[in-house]
Amino acid sequence: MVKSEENRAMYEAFDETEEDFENTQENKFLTFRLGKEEYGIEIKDVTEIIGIQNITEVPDMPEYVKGVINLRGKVIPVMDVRMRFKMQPFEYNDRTCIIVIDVEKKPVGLIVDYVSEVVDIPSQNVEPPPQVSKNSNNIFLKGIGKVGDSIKILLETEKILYAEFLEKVKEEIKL
Amino acid sequence: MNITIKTKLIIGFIFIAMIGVIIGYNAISNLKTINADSIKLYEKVTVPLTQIGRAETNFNKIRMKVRDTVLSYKDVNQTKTHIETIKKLEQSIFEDSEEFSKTILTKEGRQVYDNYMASFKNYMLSVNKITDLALASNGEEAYKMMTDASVAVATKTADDALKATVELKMKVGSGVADANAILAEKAITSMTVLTVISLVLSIFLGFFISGGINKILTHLVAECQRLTDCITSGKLGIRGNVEETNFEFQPITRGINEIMDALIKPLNVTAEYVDRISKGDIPAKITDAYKGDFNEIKNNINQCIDSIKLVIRDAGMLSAAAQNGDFKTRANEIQHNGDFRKVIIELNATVDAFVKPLTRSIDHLENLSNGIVEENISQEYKGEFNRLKISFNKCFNAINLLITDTKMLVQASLDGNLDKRADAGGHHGDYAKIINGINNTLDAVITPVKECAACLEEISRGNLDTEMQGDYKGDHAILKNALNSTVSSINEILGQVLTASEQVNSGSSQVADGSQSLSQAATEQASSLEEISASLQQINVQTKQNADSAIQANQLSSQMRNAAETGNKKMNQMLSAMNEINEAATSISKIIKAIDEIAFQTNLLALNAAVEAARAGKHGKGFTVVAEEVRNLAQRSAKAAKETAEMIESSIKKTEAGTSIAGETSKSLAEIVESVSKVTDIVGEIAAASKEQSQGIMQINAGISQIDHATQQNTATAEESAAAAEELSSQAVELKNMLSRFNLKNADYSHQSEKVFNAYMKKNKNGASVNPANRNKEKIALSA
Repeated sequence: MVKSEENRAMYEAFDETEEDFENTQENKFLTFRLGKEEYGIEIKDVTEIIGIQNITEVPDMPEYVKGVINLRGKVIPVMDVRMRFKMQPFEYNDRTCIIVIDVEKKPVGLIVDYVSEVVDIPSQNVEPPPQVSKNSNNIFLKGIGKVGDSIKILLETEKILYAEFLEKVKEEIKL
Repeated sequence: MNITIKTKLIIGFIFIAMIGVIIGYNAISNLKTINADSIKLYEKVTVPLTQIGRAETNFNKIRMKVRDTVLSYKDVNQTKTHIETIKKLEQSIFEDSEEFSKTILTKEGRQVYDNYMASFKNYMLSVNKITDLALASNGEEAYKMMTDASVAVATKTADDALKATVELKMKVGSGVADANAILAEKAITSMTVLTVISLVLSIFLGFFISGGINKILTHLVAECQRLTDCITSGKLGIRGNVEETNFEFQPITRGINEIMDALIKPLNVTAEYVDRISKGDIPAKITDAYKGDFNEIKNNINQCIDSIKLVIRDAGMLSAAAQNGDFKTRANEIQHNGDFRKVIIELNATVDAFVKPLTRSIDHLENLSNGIVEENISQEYKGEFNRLKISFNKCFNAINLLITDTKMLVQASLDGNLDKRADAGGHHGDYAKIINGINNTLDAVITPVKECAACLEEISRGNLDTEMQGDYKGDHAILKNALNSTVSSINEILGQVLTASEQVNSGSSQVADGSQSLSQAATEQASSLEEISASLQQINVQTKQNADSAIQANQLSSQMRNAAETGNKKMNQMLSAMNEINEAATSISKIIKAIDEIAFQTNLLALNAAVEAARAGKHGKGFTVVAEEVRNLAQRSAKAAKETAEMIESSIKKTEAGTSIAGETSKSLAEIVESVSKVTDIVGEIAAASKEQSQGIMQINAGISQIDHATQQNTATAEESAAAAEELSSQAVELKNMLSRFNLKNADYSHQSEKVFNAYMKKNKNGASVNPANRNKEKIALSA
């Protein structure tokens, strides 16, 4: 009880000082874990987080699209992010989560190992993705965020979703 | 190896016969195979070719009949007849095909046949359609159908399939025929090879066997030729060599040898007898039995031996009669023939000339021998017989003088005058010797008598060191030897007596010593027995204590067993309690899992709330804080649940370990119960054994007192024997003193006695059992 009152006091103080800061969604990220690394996606793309559901397989789909789920009467496709990134597959358990994102009005579920938290990463703490050679350019990466001593790999949500887009980018690079 | 010619020939012929059998068998088996293949060729190829050929013909007939049917569609009766013919032909084709299919040998053949049947059935379907149209008087349709391409194709297919079947069958047939030809070729080759081999083997065997026989016969002929040559050249000792002859012809060589032996033996005997007679060695008559001419030779030799033996016997008889003084005996000349009779008459005349003078001499000598000395002979004799008369006269004179001197000496001896002697100067030759002899005789009689008397006198004085030393002969030598041997016997006996007395003396002192030590040992034995008795008493007491202790131990072990059983029961109760704890822990871990699940869901809710708050922007700030708090709570409860789960898990593990330990303890307690039962039994046995031991000790005590009694008797006996030994010793000393009066012949006897005594002592040392003192000592040592 005492703690909640303190929090409320803090909140009120915060509220007063940052009153003119309009777009609060700007620098907020939802972080999740694949293996030992932490990744982040922008909070504006996130609709909700649910536990693992019964997945119905759909034929003739890319390997990383595991199928569709029924989320409160709405059918949405789910994608295994590990497989999307060509990482070692991971057996699902009752702690596996699905992050439901909404890009251009199309809801998609992202299967991840574990959902961590919602963090603020100010733009000055975000660095551009590292370039090893001239031609290589990792199209998934938005940047590298620093939170204290740890590092969050920040992802471009829409580029994860569309393989066609990926192919297109590849072609452009070649030309 | 010895094989007769018969066996060799039989083996050769059997061998050739076996080769014949092998060739015959090979030929028969090849002919059978070819025959079987020919039958197969007929049954499986020729007959089916006929059947399939018939089917082909019938197929062509059907085609013609179909055409006829179509052409004659207007006449229904004719159409029906045609259709019936077609049906019959079809039936015939099916029957032939059925028969043919039974003879198909290869997989390929089966495939071709099946293809043919399928195409034929297909064709027949078309035919049926055409005939149906024809029967329905629809001639144009039927014609159209017949000329239709599909029907033509079906027809061609069926025809081709049929031809293919025939061709395949032909191919199979030619294959079988080729195989037959190859087989026949092989058979011919193998027969030729076997024939050549048998020819070569037969020729070789013929040469081998005949060569062997020829060698044996050549050798036999050569041996006979050699023997004939030897006999012709007078070498009668040579015989045929039996060993070198082949075993089968050895009887021939042996027979020749026997014939030669029979001829040569009598010749040898005759030569030997003639040789011996010529050398004056008259052999015994021949007794061996001979036959024919050999017997005549034998009789002549025996007659010759008889005549010579008769002459020798009569000459021997006359000689023996002369030697025996039988002057009347003469040989009988009538028994002899020819020159042998003349020899005997001359021998008788010679004997007569010697007999007369000898008879007169005998009369004179007879008178002399009767003590009648005659007057001198005055008659005249010639030659050697006159010398005989002079000798007789000299003899009468000498004998008269001798008688006179002898009478004088005899008279002196009878008067006890043994020193009187006759004068030998008046006598000649041996008569002088007679007188000297009488004188010497008197001397010889008197000398030994005198020496004997002197010796006996010495002995009577106790001096046994004396003897007769003169060189005497005859009865005097007997007298001297008798006296000398008597003296030496007495010497020897007395020497031995002396030795024996010394031995008795030393032996008795040893007996005395032995008895002394026996007595002492028996006393020691008695004291040892007392100690043993005391020790036995102590053992008896200890044994009783053992028995008591064993009974106590028995009671204690029973108590211990009860305690162990109780412990076992408690242990089982503990085990069930631990199982209950385990079950409870399982329920708790289920609950914790539920708590963990709730925490996870709460965490998700908080995250969603945070997302929602973030999306709400400025207005959701407060909500963000709340969501953060809820999330922290959820994580804490998850952590707490995890820790609790770990604790529960470790408690389950510990309980399991406790259960296994308790199980082992229970097992150990059961083993303790079992061991204690065994201990109880063993302790009972120990108590029983202790009682028996106590009884045994009582029996030993009784035995010991018997031994004690015997020991005391031993002591008394040993003392008595010591006293007896001392008495014996003193008597031996007395005997020695008595013997010292005699002066013995030489010191050898005393030395000898010492030697005998030493030998006796050595013997006793080797065998300890002879010394009674030693024996007793050992016995005591054993029983102590």
